[in-house]
Amino acid sequence: MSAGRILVVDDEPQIRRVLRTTLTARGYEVHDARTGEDALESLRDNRFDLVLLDMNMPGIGGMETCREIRANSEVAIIMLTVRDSEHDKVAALDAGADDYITKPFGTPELLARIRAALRRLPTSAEGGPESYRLEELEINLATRRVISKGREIRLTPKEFDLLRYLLANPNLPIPHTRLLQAVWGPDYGDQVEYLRVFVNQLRKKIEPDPSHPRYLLTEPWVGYRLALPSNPA
Amino acid sequence: METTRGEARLGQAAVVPPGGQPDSPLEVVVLHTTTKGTLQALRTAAALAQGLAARIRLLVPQTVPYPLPLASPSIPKDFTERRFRTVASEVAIETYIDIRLCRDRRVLLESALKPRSLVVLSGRRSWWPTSESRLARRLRHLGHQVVFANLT
Repeated sequence: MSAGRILVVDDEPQIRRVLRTTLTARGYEVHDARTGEDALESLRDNRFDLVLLDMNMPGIGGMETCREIRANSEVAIIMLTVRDSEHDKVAALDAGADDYITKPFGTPELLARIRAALRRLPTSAEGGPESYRLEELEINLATRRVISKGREIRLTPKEFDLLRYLLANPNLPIPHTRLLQAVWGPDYGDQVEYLRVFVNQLRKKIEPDPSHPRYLLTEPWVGYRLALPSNPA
Repeated sequence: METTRGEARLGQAAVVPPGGQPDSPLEVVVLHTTTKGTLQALRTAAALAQGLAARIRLLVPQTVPYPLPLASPSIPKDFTERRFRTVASEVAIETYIDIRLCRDRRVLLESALKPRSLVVLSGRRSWWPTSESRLARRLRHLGHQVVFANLT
């Protein structure tokens, strides 16, 4: 079980190590990057819920990295810096950061800011109910378990991420591009065939009759919609 | 050597999926077109297989002309196997190679693919239908799910 996927971007190994230890102990899945370039590459290949981004780094700095991330992704960004001037805070927020924290910071404050940022995310596990019940199908987001007719179904991480995103936006038609970018990353906007394959697999696993889906519905020429009853468990 | 419906299967060791894979029933079939296209299709299939916990089968239909016996292709089977092992080694995911001898590729595909298979093939996208795009359309018509990897 993971409370969220966090990417820590800092050129100082000690800071990365401390943050990794602290956040992993609180149930977060932590990845780290040494530079802005590494972070952008990591974001291209993986999906994260939040980025902790140092402002002063060699190469492309924190501010430029923040702008690049925000141009392609809705991931939450918290900037870390040693400077406390109003000008820096304004610049960071204007670059697309959601929050700003000054070093040195206390662990409770950092964790509170992370929780607050994750709560605001539309796809966050913390944002909605932790479990859903669709007739004989039971989905628990916290434990990442899916049970159908009393039997546990094995979903791959990607299949689960796709289901989680659809659950976070129930009964709404979600365009192919948005689904692809949210689950696979910003480089995958036009790979609709990928999405079809994963949706078909997911239907085989969660639908009572995959050829006549009841939950995971196709919105012709638009994308997909997860049909949920109005009051999930 | 196994011969069914006018086709022969080569390299029994390569045909059997490694370990039997009881936990991974899904199979991504990469259909050989050209070497460059197959490489591109293998890369696409590797990304798919990783996300779906599937295995990859590289299906190589090898046409044997009528003057030759079906079991004696003009290109030796060892050579074909070696060549495709090198091609398959380009992807990090374990791939098994399924070389099939046949008279007609289209007839072979009807028997070599399970119903509703997930097939990846690569070719150039163009306004005019290419042989690969026609093949993809035919496979879709047969009920298979086809991912067409664009060859750039």
